[in-house]
Amino acid sequence: MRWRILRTLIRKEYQRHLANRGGLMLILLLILASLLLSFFGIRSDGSVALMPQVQRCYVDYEEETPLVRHLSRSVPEELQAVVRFRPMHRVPTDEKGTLVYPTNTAAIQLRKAIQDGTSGIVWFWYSGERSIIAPFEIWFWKETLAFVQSQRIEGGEAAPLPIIHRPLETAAFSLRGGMDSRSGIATALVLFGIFFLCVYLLPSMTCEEREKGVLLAQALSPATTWELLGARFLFYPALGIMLAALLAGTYSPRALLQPFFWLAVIVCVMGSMGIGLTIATLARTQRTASMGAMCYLMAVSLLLYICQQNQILGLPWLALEFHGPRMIHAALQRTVLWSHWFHLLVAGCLALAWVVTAGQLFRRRGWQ
Amino acid sequence: MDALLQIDKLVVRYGEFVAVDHLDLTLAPGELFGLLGPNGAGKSSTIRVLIGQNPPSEGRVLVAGYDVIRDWQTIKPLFGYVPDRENHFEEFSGWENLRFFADLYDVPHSRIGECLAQVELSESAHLPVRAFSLGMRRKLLLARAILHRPRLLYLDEPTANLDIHSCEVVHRILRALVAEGTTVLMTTHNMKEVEKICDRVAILCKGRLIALDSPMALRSQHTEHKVDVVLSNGQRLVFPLDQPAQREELSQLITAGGVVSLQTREFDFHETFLKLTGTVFE
Repeated sequence: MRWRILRTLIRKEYQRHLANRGGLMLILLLILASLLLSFFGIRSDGSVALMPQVQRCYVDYEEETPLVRHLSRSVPEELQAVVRFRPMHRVPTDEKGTLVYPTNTAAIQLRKAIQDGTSGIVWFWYSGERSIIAPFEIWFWKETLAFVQSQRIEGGEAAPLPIIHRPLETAAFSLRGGMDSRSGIATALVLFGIFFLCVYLLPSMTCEEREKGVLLAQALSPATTWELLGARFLFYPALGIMLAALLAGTYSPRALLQPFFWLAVIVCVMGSMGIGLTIATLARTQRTASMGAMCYLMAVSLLLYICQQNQILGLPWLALEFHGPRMIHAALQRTVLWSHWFHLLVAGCLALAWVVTAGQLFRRRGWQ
Repeated sequence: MDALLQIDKLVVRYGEFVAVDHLDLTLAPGELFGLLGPNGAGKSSTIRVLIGQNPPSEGRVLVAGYDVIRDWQTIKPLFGYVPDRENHFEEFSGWENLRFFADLYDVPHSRIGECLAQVELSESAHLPVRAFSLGMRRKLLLARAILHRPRLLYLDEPTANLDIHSCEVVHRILRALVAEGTTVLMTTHNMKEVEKICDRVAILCKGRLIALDSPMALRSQHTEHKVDVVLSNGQRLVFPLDQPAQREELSQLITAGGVVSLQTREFDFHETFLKLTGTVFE
């Protein structure tokens, strides 16, 4: 690759965007929206879930008592995909030691009493409306009662009372943090900016050049096809990263200090580039490319929504768009947990897969 | 003299359809060559192979001794190409369009002004191309193609949709390039244009080469050697000039003052094409 040619091609992209003001206008609107969000928004301390639904309900216990074993054996079929048991020491914590639950989760914490260690404490944690944890509460009390009755039958009147017979303290709390609506909108702006540049604008401009024959003129010049591709791989990701940083920095300048933010943005941008170039290689005309980008967005949104509604947990992990919001949101809120690093790892693999797919398609079909 | 462009037994197939059928051509440096044929003759398919957009199904093409498939990157700077439809960055000015390609070819920017002056676009150089007329756009294509002083120039219908003056400008530029040693291969429908500027012409029909010679030789081979005569009594006669007896009779009529009008038959390309191929040129 020759820098002289790459520089010429990059300058051409830059000048084309300066001349086509539509793209610039939308970018300015995104920045304006981010500024408005920063100046006029009211930070919400309450927890607002993305969807009023529990995707995972943890039963976190301090001690694996017979009650815990009974509960784990008696999870009804309809809740089996959602309920997970784990010892309390495995619950992630933040730097202050506070237990942290991801968005759209609920928890039933079975704690020993602090004073004498004999009576039980049950805490219910939920996001948003209290009613969303109702099915889990109902299950918990029903099975606890069944457990008590079975213990009495087995041991008779003389048998020692299980811990659950002691006065049981219960309480319910709303999880703090969650999806703050402002950070949610900021996340959406950042991701939309990246999508707009890499999945919409890149294929649209590339296919316009192909349709008008300008791409052929460039392909006949000394520029190699890999230089034509390389220039796009330098220009659009750089622009995408800058726009994402600008939008995120306007909302939360401290987010820019986190390495995780930059890694997440780079992964999202590279994955979007792969998707954009795949569309650019498959589509023949500008209209097809625009339609392709829109259809892709619609298809992925529907897939994620259907999976969420039907508790299909594995499939969304195959979509880059599943990981992007979680990573960017965590970076903006500075609540990055190990789970977000795992999202980053999976998203990185998906981004690589998209880039490889785009490269393979490009090798087979070229620009024509 | 070594050939600059050598086409050996070129075959281009699209599935079962044979677009170019064992075409052999050799172009010398400094030659202006016309590729003539009706729609579907195989001109564009040949050009697509020459500009590396289609691989040959059979045969090979060499440019300055380099294979068009194997040595594609070496060949690219050697040729310029004027497509049949304009392909500019509409939002850029003519000058900006040329600057982009000048930078790709590593040509100094002073050359841009020279090329724009050659095609008479200096005054409108800084207007956006979207404001250009069709003729201006086509002239800008030619300016772009000659920017890097290519040794070989391919032109696909270069004067289509141009006014008479612009056609003259294009012809003058092409002749000047040829005088400097550039080899030009142009496709056209227009036999008059070929006669006017081309050194040699190849006529293609259904992918096959049916005639290859200089325009003058084609004209002399295929012009009807007949004269149409109108006599003073209104009678119209045709005299074949290649028959001595008919020539003698015509001479007597002229000297006796019995001829009012006499016209020679002009070369008729469409008639010639029909005679050569049995197909109407369209």
